[in-house]
Amino acid sequence: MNLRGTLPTLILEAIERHPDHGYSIARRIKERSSGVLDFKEGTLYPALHKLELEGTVESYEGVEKGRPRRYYRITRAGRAELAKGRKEWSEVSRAVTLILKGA
Amino acid sequence: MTPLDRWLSEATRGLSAESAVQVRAEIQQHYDSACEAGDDAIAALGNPRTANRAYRKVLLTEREAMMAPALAQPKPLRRRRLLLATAIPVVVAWFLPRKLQLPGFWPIVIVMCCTTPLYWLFRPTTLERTRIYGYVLVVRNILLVAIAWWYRGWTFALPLGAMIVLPDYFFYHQRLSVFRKLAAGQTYSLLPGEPRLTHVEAITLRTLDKGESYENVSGTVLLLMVVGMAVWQPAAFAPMAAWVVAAHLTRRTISFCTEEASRWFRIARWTAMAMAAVLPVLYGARAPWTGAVFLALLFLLFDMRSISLRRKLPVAQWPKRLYW
Repeated sequence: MNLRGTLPTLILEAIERHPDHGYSIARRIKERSSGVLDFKEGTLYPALHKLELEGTVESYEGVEKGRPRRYYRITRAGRAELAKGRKEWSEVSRAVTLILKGA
Repeated sequence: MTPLDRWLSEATRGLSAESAVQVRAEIQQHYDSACEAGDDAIAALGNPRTANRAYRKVLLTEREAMMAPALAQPKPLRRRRLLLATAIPVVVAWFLPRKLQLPGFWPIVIVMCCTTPLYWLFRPTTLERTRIYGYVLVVRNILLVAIAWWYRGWTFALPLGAMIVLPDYFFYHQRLSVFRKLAAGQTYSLLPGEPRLTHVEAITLRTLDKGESYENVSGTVLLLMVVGMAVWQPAAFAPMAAWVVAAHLTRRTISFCTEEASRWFRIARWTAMAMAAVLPVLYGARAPWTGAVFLALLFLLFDMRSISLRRKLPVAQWPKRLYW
């Protein structure tokens, strides 16, 4: 399942605590959703670049197990965006739950 | 070619050299990690065309990288340039027949002439300046549509608005996209390897060489525009439309791959165009013949870069389209 428009918020959530690289971000989103949220990984990097253009994420070169890696970290603007995303999602999910419970 | 190479070649299509290198590096890293973890890495990457569409929105494309230097460093402000940008539309408008100078015509011309120099005054060469210039365009367009509506109602204001707003929207977004990407630290390599050419000439050369689809689109639009004008005012524009169609068909059917043949074709083309512009005048057409002359000057302007390229490049390096 891939809910349209939620990927940026999920990425911000995944790197909120510490910076990470693309593959690890993808893995973490899948694991934390118990495999329910599954998106094509080819679109993860364009989403990361988009967040970078918007200034919510910064990237830098790092090394892991001797291999060069591009790490992404959340910015202050990114934290504000994440808080906004959480609030919006909570309202949407509450509204959808209300409707579906009544059905 | 490995499945990953095929995926990357599709996903990086149309991206600038630097963007393609970046995509290749990050996907290769991702692929290696996925293989180590025993995942089906290629299947997990998904459709490369979808990824390509997403990448084009956020990374500099080849076309944007070609345009970037010209956008970031436009020609300097010169009094002569400012004067020409303001005066040419006034002169053209002045010589248009009185029957075309309908109510509201001159206020619209005045607003256009007063706002054109603002491009050089605001110089939208950065992201912030481009955003500010966007507001200038919005105010100008609202003013133009309001004038058109005041004098001639919605039936005139709406098509005029569409005619003005659509190109503005297209060029403004293109400019904004380039500056957003540059502001995020993306880079481009300067064209070309040929030191005698300016950057704009190098872009023209590459466009002529590769036959970019956008160039074909603008050619088709020009063709349709001239044919439309011939239907609207046959006395003034029919010879010009016949010239455009004939030149278009000749280019597509006959190959001019020697310098001599190319020269004769160009002489014939320009002679025919001069006649197409002047014939309506000789036959006393009362229609806006100045429009045909203006159109001829426009074609000449388009061809100036090709003329300059022919002068600077040895014939052996001419792309096929430069022979036309």
